[in-house]
Amino acid sequence: MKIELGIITGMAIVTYLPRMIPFILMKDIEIPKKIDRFLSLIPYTILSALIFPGILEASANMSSSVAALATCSIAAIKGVKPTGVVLLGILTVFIFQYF
Amino acid sequence: MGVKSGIQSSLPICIGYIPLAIAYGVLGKSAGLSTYTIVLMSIMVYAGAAQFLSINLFAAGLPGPEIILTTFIINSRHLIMSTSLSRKLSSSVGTLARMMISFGITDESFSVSSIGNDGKKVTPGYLLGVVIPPYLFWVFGSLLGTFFSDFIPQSVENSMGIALYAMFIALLLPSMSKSKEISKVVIITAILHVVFLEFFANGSSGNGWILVLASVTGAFIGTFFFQEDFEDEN
Repeated sequence: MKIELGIITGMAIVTYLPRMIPFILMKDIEIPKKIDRFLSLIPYTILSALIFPGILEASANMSSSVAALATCSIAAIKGVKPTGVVLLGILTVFIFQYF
Repeated sequence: MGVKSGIQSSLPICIGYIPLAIAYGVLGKSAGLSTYTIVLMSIMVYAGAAQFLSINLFAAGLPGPEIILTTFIINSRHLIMSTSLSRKLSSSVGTLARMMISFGITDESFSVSSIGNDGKKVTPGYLLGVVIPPYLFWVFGSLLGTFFSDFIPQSVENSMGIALYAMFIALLLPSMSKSKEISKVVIITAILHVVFLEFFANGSSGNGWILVLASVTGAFIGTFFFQEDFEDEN
């Protein structure tokens, strides 16, 4: 429990600092364009790496994962909100259990 | 435009967080985490994607520094949001107010407060109104999920492992459909991650670093290979 408290405190600090420091310091600073471009791509690349290839092992079998990937992708492109996409993903995998 | 207006703007976020927070609590329980760990993360860290991922990292028994670094990499995206959002706040707003508001910057609160008020400055009261209710929903939703895990059928619980990935897809796909550059970078990074895992994977403890490596490499490639396209778009 002590180790977990230490890890969570560390997580809290490294999560809070990126939120807080620019909000206080960078209101008047212009970031160089290349660095701005690089930093702006990081969330997309991290999300990409988080999804692939992990999603293929996120459910009991690969076909249900691929089905969820397909339905969730279509829903997301159609503008369905994250919560709706999450519920759709759960439902897709749930239904595929019975095939 | 004050606290009341902010709270009203936060309502869709609150509704959206309920099932996500419950799913997080349920997933945490099913992965063998204690209620203490699950809820404390929601109170202190308050970052959905990182919390979902850290469930797997905790369950896999990864060393603390790797969990913290992975959390930092995932949440470093808040640097951009924080930078962007700070421009919407008058420079007369004090440091204490900025420290409080910035704790609540998430993908959702950032989107609502940025997109809902185009071009106009926002007040600290409005931003506090946007960020506080979703935080409370997230914390109490997590707690609720830890109780529900005993009542939810195994077949449903098994299906909830996809929730994290569905959330990532929901965050990523709209951006991909709007930008060819982002689509290219996303696809390149996915391929890099698979290739790097093939070459460097060394048990579950090594994989957090590979995710970081793939993400940073993908962003570098995007920065240097697609720079001209990016400038043309502007």
